[in-house]
Amino acid sequence: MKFSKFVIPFIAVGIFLIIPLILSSPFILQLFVLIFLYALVCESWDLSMGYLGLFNFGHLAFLGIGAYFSGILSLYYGLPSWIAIVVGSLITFALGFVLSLSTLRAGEYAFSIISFAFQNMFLYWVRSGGGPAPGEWGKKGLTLTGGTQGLGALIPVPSLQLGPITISSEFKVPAYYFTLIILVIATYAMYKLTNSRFGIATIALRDSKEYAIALGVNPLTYTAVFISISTFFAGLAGGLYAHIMGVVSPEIIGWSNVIIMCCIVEFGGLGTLFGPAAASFLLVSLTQYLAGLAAYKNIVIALIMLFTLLVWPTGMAGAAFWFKSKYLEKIKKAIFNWKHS
Amino acid sequence: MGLEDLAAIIISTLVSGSIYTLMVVGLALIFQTIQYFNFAHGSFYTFGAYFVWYLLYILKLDYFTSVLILIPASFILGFVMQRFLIQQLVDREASPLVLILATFCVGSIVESTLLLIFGGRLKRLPYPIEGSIEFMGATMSYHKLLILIISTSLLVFFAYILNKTKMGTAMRAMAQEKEASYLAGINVKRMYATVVGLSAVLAGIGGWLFGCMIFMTPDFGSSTILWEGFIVCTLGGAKAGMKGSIFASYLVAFLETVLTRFLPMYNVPPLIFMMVILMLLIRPEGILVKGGSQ
Repeated sequence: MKFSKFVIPFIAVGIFLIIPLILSSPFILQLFVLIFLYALVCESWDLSMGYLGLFNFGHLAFLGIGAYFSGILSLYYGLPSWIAIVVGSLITFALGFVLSLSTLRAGEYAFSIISFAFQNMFLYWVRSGGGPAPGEWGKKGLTLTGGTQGLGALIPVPSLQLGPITISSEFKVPAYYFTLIILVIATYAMYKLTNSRFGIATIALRDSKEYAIALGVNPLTYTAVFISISTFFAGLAGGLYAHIMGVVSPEIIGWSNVIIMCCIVEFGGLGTLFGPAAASFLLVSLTQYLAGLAAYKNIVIALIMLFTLLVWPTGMAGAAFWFKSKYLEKIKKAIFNWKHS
Repeated sequence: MGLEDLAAIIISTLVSGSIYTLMVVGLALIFQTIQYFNFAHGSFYTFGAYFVWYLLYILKLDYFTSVLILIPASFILGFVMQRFLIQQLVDREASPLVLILATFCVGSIVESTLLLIFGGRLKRLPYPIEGSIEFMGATMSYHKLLILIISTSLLVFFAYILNKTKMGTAMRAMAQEKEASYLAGINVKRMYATVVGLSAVLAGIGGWLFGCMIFMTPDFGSSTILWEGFIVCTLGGAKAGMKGSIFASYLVAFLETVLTRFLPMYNVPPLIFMMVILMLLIRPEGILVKGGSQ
């Protein structure tokens, strides 16, 4: 019984482990790396949007903070890449904690607006360049965030070195396996978190706030911890993105990307973790396929989102559950008929 | 800092404040009656500007007729969006955030359609009136004067509708008590759609006036003006009403003008957004609203 719950994830991971052996096209592998990173971001967004019921409009700002801070630390200050990624993720953890404290003062709706303003503030700061780069980099005319061109447009962000293995977009196969492993570990951690006593208390807080408080769930603690964990994973994905792709442009936190990510979470199904991960495969492939046709891409994404909101609010995961329940009913009915025939 | 600088600051504040007002009054009205923040408003803006451009250059109509046709067109856009799309979600008692996401999608669709039709090249509307006057040593074009006149008269007209007509009374009643206005025989669904339609008209006219001053791209509405509307709405407060929104519009316009004079252009928006965050933390109910938080 315990095993059957993990059959589908095990099969999925098994398939992904052998994909690079079959498909060696660099484009496909690059696409998969992007999908794994986006799936990580969407799952972490699902933690705050689905499980906590708080709409963190600025979730992608934390992806950007992770990417930019770890990129800046390793590019200009010479930190080893993996330390820079950890430091960047911890910065997003702390910032998410600070942001979540605002729910105490201003309420849930204002939290969305504050995170929205925060996203805009960060986006404008990134686009402005944020002042000259430190040391002799600044004398060459480089700015801290690289402005609209992006960080690492002139000198790429150093790639990730793990012993003899280099993980960057030039070496696709190590990058593929590394991001896959990180995604699996992070998904398992988030799954454990949401199914622990802690996660159940948080879901209770979402479904009936007054009742949960009456039962002794402290809303501030649970909100703060959940949001800071979700921003931590977003920052981790951002740091990996910066070091693997080598370039971070402001577009990854721009509004068209926000709407794509939000569409992935909604379309996958809120509060399911695996739903957004599965949806990111479909939708990231779709957006990469339509990458040259920005207008069509936006229209298609917006239509998918409207369809989800209006017709099928539970998303892909909801569809899967519906299918499963229908299927199980039929089997039970068949057994029932067989017994009484 | 001489007299000319002062005059330039005053003119700039008045003009951009009037443009913000046109957007914010509509946004605040939607926020009060239907309780969501309309992210499609920026695309209504763009729609207004591009619609006038289309009528002027493709259909070769004269200026006055084009603007007259713009009014029903943007009304229909807003009306249809609310009646056939957002209303479905309101009926289902969806959370305000779902409504926000839906309007976000509508805005994205409208803008992308405009991009497909008109392309991404920069366009510019001609001034309705050419020429300029001197004001305390600073020049002020007739177009800016026209913006002041049109926005003021539109606001007066809007205030008249809200306060003196039966429709306006119904709107205010809906904002105060939805269930009771059902009982009083108000067709709430149609009235919601009318509210969004009217605010779309204000946005369309604002877009036309703003489109004469800048080079337009299909996303100019939501990339610049919508954020200003958002800032002003937050500062003015959700329950502030028309007076609060207008005051906050001119306040933000003044702050931006002054800050842009003394700081690099790129540093102003982060500062303003920082101010919004602090404002929400310190005084979430807005500047002009009396009483406790929430």
